[in-house]
Amino acid sequence: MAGYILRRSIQSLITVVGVTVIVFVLVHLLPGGPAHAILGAHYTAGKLKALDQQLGLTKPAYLQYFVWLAHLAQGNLGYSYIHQLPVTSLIASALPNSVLLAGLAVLEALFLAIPLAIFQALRPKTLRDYVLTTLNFFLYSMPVFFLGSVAILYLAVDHNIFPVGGVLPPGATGLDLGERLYHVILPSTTLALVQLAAWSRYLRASLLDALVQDYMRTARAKGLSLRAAVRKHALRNALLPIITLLGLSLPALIGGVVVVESVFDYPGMGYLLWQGAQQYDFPVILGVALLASVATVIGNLLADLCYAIADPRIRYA
Amino acid sequence: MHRPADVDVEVGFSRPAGSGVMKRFMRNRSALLAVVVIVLIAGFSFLGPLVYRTGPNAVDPSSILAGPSSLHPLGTDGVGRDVLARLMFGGRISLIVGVLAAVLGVVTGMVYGAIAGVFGGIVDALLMRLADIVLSLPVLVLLIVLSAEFRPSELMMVVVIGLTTWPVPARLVRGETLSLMQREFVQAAHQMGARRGWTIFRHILPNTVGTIVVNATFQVADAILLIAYLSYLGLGIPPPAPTWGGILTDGLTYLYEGTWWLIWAPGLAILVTVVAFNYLGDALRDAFDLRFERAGRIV
Repeated sequence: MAGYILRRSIQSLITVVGVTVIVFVLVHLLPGGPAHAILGAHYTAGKLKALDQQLGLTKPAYLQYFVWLAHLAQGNLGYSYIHQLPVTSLIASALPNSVLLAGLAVLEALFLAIPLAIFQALRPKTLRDYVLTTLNFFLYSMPVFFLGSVAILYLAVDHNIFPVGGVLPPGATGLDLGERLYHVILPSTTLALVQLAAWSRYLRASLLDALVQDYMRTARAKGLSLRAAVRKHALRNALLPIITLLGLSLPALIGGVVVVESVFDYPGMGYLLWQGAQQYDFPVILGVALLASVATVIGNLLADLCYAIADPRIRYA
Repeated sequence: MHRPADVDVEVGFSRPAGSGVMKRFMRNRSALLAVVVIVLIAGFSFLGPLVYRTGPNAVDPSSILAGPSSLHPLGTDGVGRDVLARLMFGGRISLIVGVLAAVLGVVTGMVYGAIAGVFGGIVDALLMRLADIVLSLPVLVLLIVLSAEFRPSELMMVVVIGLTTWPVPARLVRGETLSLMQREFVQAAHQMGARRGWTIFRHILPNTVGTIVVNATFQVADAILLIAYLSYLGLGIPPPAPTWGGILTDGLTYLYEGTWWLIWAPGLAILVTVVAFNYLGDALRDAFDLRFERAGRIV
């Protein structure tokens, strides 16, 4: 087990280093480099040269990389050109909102996907199974912003059941968990609905596999009701791969968060990234991109470790 | 290399790649439906403007944000442009850019994966490590970064999407390559002194055609979705180009005017197109008798 953890951790570390290299290269792909981006409309050849000197951009690229990495290690992601604030403090205020949104979406998706998959796996190839599979297929292909827009149009604008967007009523500040939950329900449910499609589809297939295993016949033979056998044996085994799937879904989940936050004007990491991209605010863009990528790598690592804990067979593979 | 015709059929457990695919595909009625839908969407986008002659950027100042009427069957947007016309031209962008981006991503990925599999060892380890790194980046975030740097033209969009979506086909093709490398005909070619480049293009890639075709179909669906996401976010092909995502953004801007047609028309267009390609991919996968599961949505 220790060997497995070590091996996977080292792999993830290499991946994180690779991610920093890619992000760094992206900074330097900018036409004229970062100094050009900082100067923006104030660009003159003279100013560019001076700023290049000041920022150390005349040094060789690999040296610049290590300087950048050293800053990064100290939690310095640079200053936002637009907000005139450190990127870290922008992220600090946006991150909790996104974590709430994404976390709630994952819970909702699992809460809906598991019963749905059980329902379908117990009646395979019936009309109800086909209808749900088709519905699932449409959700799988659904653009998040379409579903979100429709939800806003009918549930927020036409029927005032939910707020149109934001995390709190206009002007309000503070923790007010009730209001925050009320504001996050529509965006998180939108995200959950598109995420659940892939999961319940996968879970249905793995439940169908589990239902015909020998241990199910044994469980039924010793007198367990179908319900108990499904819950205690089939579901437990079928849920295992979902752990990995959760890890693999992280890039899509993060992408979904970006779009949902832009639909609902929800001030989280995705909104920050979106605004940054529209205003060419490169330190913000790269800071958020770096954090999102590192979060994906760590999430995948955690998923693999959880899987190894839950299923001892994997450790010896 | 010359092959006598009578040994064309491989013996034993393996069928020649592609046998019976067409038959199985034609039997699948929902697959045919998907093909019909795709043909209809292509017809709507490419032939539609020949019949419906309103321009996508023609402004009708007398009807701004007008609902569907006989003059504008799908209404108009915030500056009085006809939504139906924009939908047709937006379809051209989605289909052309989507297909080309998918082709670029798949071709890059399959050559990459085959090289990794055929060379093996340290080359394989390094190449697949890089693929893992790119795969662990959230595609949409990467695309946002790239499109903030180069406001994408249609061509740039193809390149940018191709550059971010190659790892999935690369991994699939590498997996198949590794098992093909053990097969007699590849080993025989190797014994006869075939160079690796020859092996890749003559023996490996032709035998992964099923995987490639199926994956490419899914990639078209993903690319169309990604294009829509970027244009929705205002980071795609810049206005006044008519994009499906862009029309929907307009719909959200004028939400309080109750402009439902600006949301439903482009939203359904994207949904139906993506569903059709995903359905087609599933059906092709069944027809080729492949068993790879997708990890989930791209976004």
